[in-house]
Amino acid sequence: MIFDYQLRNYKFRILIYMILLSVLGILAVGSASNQDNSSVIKQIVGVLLSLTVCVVLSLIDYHRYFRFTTIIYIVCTGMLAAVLLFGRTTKGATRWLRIGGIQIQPSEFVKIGLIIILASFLSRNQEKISEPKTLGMTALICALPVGMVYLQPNLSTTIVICFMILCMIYIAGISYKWIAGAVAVGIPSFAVLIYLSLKGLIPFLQKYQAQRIMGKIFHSSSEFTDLNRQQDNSMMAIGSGQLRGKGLFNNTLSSVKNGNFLSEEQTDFIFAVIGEELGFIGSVVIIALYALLVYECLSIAARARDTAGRLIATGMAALLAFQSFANIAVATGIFPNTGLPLPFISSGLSSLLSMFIGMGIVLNVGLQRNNVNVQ
Amino acid sequence: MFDDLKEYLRDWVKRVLTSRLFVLAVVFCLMSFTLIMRLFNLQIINGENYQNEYTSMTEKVIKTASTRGNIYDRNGNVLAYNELAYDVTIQDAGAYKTDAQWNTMLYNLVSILNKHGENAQTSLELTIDHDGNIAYTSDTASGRKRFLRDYYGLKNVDELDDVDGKYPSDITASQLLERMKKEYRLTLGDDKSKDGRPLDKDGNPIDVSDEVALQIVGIRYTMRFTAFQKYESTTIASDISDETVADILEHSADLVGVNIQESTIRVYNESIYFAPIIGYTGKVTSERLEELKAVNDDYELNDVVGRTGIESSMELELKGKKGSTTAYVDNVGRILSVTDEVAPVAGNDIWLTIDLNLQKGIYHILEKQLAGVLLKTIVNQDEKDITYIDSSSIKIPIKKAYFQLINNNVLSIDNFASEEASDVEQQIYQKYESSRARIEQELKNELQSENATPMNSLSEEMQAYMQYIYSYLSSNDKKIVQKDAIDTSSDTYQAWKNGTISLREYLYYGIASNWIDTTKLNIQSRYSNADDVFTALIDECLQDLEQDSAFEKLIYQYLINNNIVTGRELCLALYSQNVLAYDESEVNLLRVSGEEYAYQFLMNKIRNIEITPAQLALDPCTASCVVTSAKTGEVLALVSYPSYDNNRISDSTYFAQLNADQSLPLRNNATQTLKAPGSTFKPITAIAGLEEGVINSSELINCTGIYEEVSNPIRCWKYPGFHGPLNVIGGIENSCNYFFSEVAHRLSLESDGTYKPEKGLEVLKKYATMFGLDRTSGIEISEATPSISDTDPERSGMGQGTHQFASVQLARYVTALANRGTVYNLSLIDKETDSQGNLVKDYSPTVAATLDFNTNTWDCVQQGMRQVVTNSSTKRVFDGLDVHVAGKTGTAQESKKRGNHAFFISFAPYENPEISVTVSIPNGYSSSNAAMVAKHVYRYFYGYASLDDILNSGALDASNERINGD
Repeated sequence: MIFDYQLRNYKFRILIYMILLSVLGILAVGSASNQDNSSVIKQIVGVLLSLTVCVVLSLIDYHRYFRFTTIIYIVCTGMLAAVLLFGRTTKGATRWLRIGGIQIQPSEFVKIGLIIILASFLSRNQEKISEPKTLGMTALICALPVGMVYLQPNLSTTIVICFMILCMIYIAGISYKWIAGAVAVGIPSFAVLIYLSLKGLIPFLQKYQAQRIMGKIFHSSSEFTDLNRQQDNSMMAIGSGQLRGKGLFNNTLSSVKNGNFLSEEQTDFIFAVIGEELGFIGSVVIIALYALLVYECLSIAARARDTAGRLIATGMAALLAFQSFANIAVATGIFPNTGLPLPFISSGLSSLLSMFIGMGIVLNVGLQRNNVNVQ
Repeated sequence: MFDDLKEYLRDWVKRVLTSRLFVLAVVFCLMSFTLIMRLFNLQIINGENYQNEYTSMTEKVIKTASTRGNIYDRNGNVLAYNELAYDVTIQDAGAYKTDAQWNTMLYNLVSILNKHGENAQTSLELTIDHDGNIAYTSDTASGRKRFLRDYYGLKNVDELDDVDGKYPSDITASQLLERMKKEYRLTLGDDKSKDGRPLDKDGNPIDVSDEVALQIVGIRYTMRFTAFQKYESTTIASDISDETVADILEHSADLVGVNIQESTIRVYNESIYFAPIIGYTGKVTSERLEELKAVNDDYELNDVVGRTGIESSMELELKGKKGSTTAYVDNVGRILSVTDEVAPVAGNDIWLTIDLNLQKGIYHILEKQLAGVLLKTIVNQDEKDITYIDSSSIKIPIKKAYFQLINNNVLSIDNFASEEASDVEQQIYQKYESSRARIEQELKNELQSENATPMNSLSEEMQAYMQYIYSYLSSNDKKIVQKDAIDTSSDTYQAWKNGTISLREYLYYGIASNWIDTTKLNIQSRYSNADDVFTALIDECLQDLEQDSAFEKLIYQYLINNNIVTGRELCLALYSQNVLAYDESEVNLLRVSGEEYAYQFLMNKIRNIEITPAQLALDPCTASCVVTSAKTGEVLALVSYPSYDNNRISDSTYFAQLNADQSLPLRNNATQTLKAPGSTFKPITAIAGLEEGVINSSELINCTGIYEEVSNPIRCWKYPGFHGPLNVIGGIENSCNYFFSEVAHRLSLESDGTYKPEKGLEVLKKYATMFGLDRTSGIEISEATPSISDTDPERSGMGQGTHQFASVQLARYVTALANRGTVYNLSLIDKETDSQGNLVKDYSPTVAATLDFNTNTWDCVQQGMRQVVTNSSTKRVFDGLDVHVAGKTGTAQESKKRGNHAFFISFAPYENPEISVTVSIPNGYSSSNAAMVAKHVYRYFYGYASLDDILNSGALDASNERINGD
């Protein structure tokens, strides 16, 4: 059945963009780890493995997954439950599972699982999408895995997943009435709530509690000095990269990275290394590559054979766009400090593999494009 | 076909615009755009700023101290220099990662230090007291809170005692040590995998003693302060012995990051003679730092600077220039690369105008003169048997001297109670203990009795204790009795003043009239009655007195006065406490003899200066002498007795002892002690009279013995006798009060003959100002500001009134008398040279004024002063001295109960003055004592006596006889 596909529909460009990002990632990880061979080799192996999985998956008909949605759901929630029960705790959060010698981060895979589950569910209920019952069911399905991710605690991944879910529901065709309603009610009431709580006008919420909550969100209280310093140093590194950057693998004394001022520089803050060493030009190239990838996903979504395919491609586009945006936004100080890997670049197998898996499925959606539209 | 295309395009646009995917694409585009904008802002607009910010964050300038300049006397004798010392420093070189590695290394280091009797000195404010308990060393409760704040890593002491109980401030010292031992894993906690105990050579864990643990956690705690400045090393032991240095270097392979650093300690030669001039160095205070930074930005926190004296006033010259190392450091301050190094420049040397041998000789002359005065003053009589004549001839009962041994801390009363106390000390202590118990019981009985005895009817001793309790309650520390709130017009207050009521009655009155602050008392109920308040008051007071050493001393005073503790016992205790070097025959003699012998014994020790006037702190115990060169205004000697050892000033025990010393050794008596000059002022009045034309040199004024032109008649000292007619020379020679009253009076007359005191005062002030007596003398150390009398011209003209001058100011004045009118700004500094000995700056005294008086005026005054020495009652003092001295004595009475202040200003040789000598002995009874000092100074200066002669002599002869006319 592999050969049922028309190879001219295969989006090689997506593969090329991903490979470019991965190569940049390997270089950045190499530089960030001060050319530590084991880190670099691990990353190369991870990329090769993930790429292989991606190519294989791109040839498997995505409809076949829909038969296993229940199993996928059980596996996802099961893994998350296992994390909460037996997970490894680092820096106050429990996010990792050790299986054999490998450490995996289930929430990364849950993202892809949820895309498939939701794509299947929403496409089957497309006509009734705006009915409260359908929306309620959707919420119910998502609540368990999202809730467990939140409890790790992993607020940033929770937000990424929610953004992705909302984008999929939107593309599934939810009535604008719902959207307008949500916006009309949600935004003002949220604003009023914040205003009242900061003024100490909500009886059950003390003023200092409200401030503490806001402080937690915006890291303004003193217990976050380390997090803030991490972010300030990242901004300093990126800024000091200026137009051309200080070059990969440099050994200049003027490097923030070489002065050891960066932390998490192979993972969540890898963009600090990129910004410093590749400069504005390199940074823009990376953002452009993400934009192109997202564009390709959306274009596949536009030409998908069916709603399910469109939803998968949309979900991946949203995931890729928002996660890369959020990561860079943290590194450049737009968002408060929160840990998210940069897709294809940050070291770490879970993130790498899950992104490639997702893109593999999207590639298959593209392979089965709706030819009617093109003619 | 064209329409088709149009149709198709319109369709496409419509589809795209209504497409939800398009909306998403727009959102994603906006996100990318936001990021690019942000990056543009960071990297292009602010990129350079970020790079600069980073560079300034990582570029560190590490200052290296320069060598402080030396101080020499005028002949090149070293007075202050730096001695090389070795410090142990420690730096985190990254060699040790685990607690066990750190603790093992530090265990080895501490073991080496302890083996050589050194201890690690850390910022940890914990210690093991002599009972073996862990205790805080913080000075105050707030000091301890600040320490705990730092320990918990808080920004503010207010964050202590939080709701979660994470930062308790009431943690005991031993709890804290346990906590730190756990924190640094010196003890095996629950988690066996995290055993951080130090390992011995075979790799077995060692359980360290608290003493060692205290040092290990102390070092680790101190290193925390430089955790992000790893380029800075932490000093953990200073001035260690050569053996320790060798031992540490031998084991340096096991002590990575431990370094021996050379440092210097300031050493003062002949310290006791020069301490009041040179002063001392110490850590810079924050106010001083601000001042110094304003002129030299080299100064930093923790710098050692001159605190007083020349060390302080010549700070900028002595300091030198710090060296610096510029380096790039990483996030924890480890040096990545050194970019620049500048070597420090040693400070300049300062040469004083002072002559070491003269300074030294005069110090001993002063001490021996004071001892001589004491020998004449202390009598083996009880206070009640001594009859008071006047304040020139006061006698001090020997018991007062005995008591001073305790009162001025010559003998330590704590030692009486210690386990190592000798038999005689135990004997004294037992007497004290039993008396104390009796006194406390009596006090309690008296205070609790319904019909307490009025103060007047109590024994003198009980009255003293009652008074002590009252002044204790109203002291500034306690303020339980609020003196301001007392109604002084009330009958009860008057009764208390007159002693007709008891303390109990008075305090009850205080409770009723609300001048007793009950909030400071430990009272359970807010609605207590007067009885409860009184009981709480008395309980608290008696409890406090148990620890009160002043009260303890008061008891000793009465034990000595009542012959319970005897002088003989106290003299023996001097040997027990090593105040006197042990002398078996003396001790045996004291043991078998009585009180008469004890008196002889103590007088003998005073005579031999084994017990010094400063130790006894009786009147007189202070003196000063200033010698200037009459021709140049250089100060050749500026001596203040008593003095201190500035080498030991950083020892806090010693410093506390100096502060408690009643002879005030930290005060420079030549510059800080202001007194009325007495008759030494008379030459100024004579000059004013001659220059203003109210008298002429041949004019005679007839002394009748009492000057009655003023409302409060002034008696001449000769009254009821009289001098008869005197000219100005005779007036000075005889120090005739009548004569100078008349001159001052004439100065106060307007041209029409009306008497106007302001005029006379104005003229006297004008002439005193000419001699520089309105301002400080110009020497380079701090000096009290003088004041010229502003009341009663006649008495002011005799040197009484409200004149207040320091010896050094009188010295400037007499220097101008000697050289006939050149008023110098005195100077202690001869020159400044760089460390190679090249002259940097030559200091010579500047001329403040040249007084252009008639030759005749100078002749009269100088001749008068010469005749003081040759003809007057002072003649006896100078008999047999070949140097022709001219001078003027002075006596000033401050209190009838204490001895008069004695002064002598002088110069010599009379024919061609070379030097001036000014002597002041506060409470020195008679100016002949001051003149005697001057005579010895001249003898010494002109080679009639050697330094050895002075050092080997005993107390100098003193006369408490009246010098006529002062």
